[in-house]
Amino acid sequence: MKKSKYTLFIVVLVMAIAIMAMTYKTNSIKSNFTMGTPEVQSINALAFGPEGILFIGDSKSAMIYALDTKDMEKVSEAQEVEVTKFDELVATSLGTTSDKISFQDMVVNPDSKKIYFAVHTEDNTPLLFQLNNGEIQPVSLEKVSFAQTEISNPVPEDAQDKWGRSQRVMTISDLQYDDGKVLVSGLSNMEFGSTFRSISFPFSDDQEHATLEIYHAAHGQYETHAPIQTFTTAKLNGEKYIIASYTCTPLVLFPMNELKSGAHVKGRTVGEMGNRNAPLDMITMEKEGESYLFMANSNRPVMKVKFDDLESYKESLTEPVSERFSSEGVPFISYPMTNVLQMDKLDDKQFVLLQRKNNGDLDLWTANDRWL
Amino acid sequence: MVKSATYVLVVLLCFSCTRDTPNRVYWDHFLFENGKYTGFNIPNYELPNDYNPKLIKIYLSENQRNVSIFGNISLTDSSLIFRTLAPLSYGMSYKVTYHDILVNELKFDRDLEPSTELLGIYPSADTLPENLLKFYFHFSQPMSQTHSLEKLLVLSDEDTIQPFLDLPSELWNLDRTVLTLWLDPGRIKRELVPNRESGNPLIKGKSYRLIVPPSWNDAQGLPLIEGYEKAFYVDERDDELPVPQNWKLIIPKVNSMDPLLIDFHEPLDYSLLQESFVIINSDSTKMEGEFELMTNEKLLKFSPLNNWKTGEYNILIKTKLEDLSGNNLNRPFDRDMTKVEVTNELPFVSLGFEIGD
Repeated sequence: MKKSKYTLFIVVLVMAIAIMAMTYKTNSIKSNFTMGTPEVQSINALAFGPEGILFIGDSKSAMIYALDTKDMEKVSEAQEVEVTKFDELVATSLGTTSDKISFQDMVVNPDSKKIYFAVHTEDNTPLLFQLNNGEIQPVSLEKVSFAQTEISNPVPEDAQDKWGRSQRVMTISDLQYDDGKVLVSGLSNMEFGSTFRSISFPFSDDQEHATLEIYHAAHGQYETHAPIQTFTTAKLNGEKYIIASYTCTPLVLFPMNELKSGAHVKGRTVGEMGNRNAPLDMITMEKEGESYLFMANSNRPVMKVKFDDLESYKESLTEPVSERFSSEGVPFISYPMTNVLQMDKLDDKQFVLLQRKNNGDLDLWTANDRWL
Repeated sequence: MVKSATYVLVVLLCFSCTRDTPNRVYWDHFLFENGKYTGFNIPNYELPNDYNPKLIKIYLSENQRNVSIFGNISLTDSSLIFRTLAPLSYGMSYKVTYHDILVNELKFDRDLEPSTELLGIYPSADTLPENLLKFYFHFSQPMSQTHSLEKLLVLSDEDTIQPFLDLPSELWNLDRTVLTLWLDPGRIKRELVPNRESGNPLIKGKSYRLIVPPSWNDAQGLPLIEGYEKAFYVDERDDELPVPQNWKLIIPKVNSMDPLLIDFHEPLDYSLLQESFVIINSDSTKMEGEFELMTNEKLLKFSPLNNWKTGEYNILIKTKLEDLSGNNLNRPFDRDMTKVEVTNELPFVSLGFEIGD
């Protein structure tokens, strides 16, 4: 009797573990990941999702890869980073010189606070690295756990397929993960139009590819159809928004609930951030209950915008900027930080920057909360 | 004597060809695989007996950082293979060390001949509109995608200008042979801040020279065979949409394979022209044939594979087709919303013609 009770207990325990394992598997966002070697042909943009998942935007193969980095150890405070001539360090480790490599993107794993970055070499080989205690380490893409989805053309121009193969390439300009959606902005090599996709994650065969045509009406008169260069997501007045900046530098807001498949979404221009400039990267930081948007630019300093100001600015810019080299719309502060090429939040108090300094060096360094 | 020498040569050649896997050829100390130099081949006789492969490190000779090169080591019977993460860079010197002691210093300066050329810059016309939107650069082989904008020189009279949009991501086609560069659209679009402050990137009435030096490297790291120069004059702004109904058709004779000619009266976008046309016959099927651009992209020639028959034909044209200023068949590049109404948003339009007896 005692023995059979024991056996029953074991059977129940095994079944419970099996049920738990099955439940875990079906609930896991990595349940459709497979082991293998993704055929990554280019790395144009990176973004971290939950559970150490790194999204890789590959323009050449028109794919988004979700890579399980297994880098999930939670760290609340990151170590400060300072590497001078970072490009030289990377190039030397690849047996070449810094003029023969190009930095594609840099992101921080929000769990482990480790910095990941992608580089293309002269022959266009894409490489992924991790920075660990000031040392760079290659991140192998061989025999990894991953999922992938194609950035397909969701609107066939002619069902009869009369036109043949197109030479259009969507070059991914930015990539973000937000609450079960992978958001992708892109530039075409043929049309100066906007391409913005929202892809459900976990990826599935019948996933929704929302394709958006995004416009912003510059100064009320001339409708501008232009690609988004960089964007982020943020909650303003309790609503989720995409804050986007264009190749022509306005700052534009789009309500996320309008981002539906095939939608023609018109954004509200809330800022003109100045001319002769392209926005490069955008992050959000918080300090003492206040949220801030930081934007890096090609030919302007890093700019800081208060979320409070974004929330209270109810208008849409309709008049041309009145004074040469001035700006309009939401107020912003220009930081004494120029030529910042890459930027990401390192932890709650710090952000990390890849900056071309005045002496020509490309340095990686950490801005602590005094900068906030 | 000559015969035996030939025999020895053939044996030697065969010997060198059959080492290791058939598609791998060793050239001195450099590993050549799938068209690239992918690492080093260090013969065992250069290494100590019973060496520990983990203690082999390879460095750039000019190395301020004292960091070794990333790579994977594998062993063959006769050598150590060190595959680098990135292919070797032309002109670099490398130090091979074992236990921090120099084993060999290797300079990667194979006697490689440049083999890539710039085939053309489009638009090919030498008079271009003030609001020209883009240039396409066509190369004969894949190019390096790093820092392309720095390779170009644009001269207005004798002044150097930078009219292009500096994008963090370069816009190449899939095989990396065609680069698209945008003239700064912020400066072309009327009333946008960059346009009001800086004006158009190109100015009407001025002459320009676009200079591509041979030092623009291809994906192998080799320069171009020669440089290239395109001179052009800038004329009036173009805000008019291309209107297919205004194009002139030169219709071929029945029962011939004569070409159909479509004269646009203006140059249209080189790349979009390649994929914007389909000819449909009276049976509603696609005509097989070849398209060819002529007269600086002002004229499209369609040569059919089969004879033209009597009947009605349709030319289907994608409305995304643009002129040189980004005006497509549906809408101008910058639409004055107070004046221009967009009425047609169809993906393609049709232009009919008839071939009679």
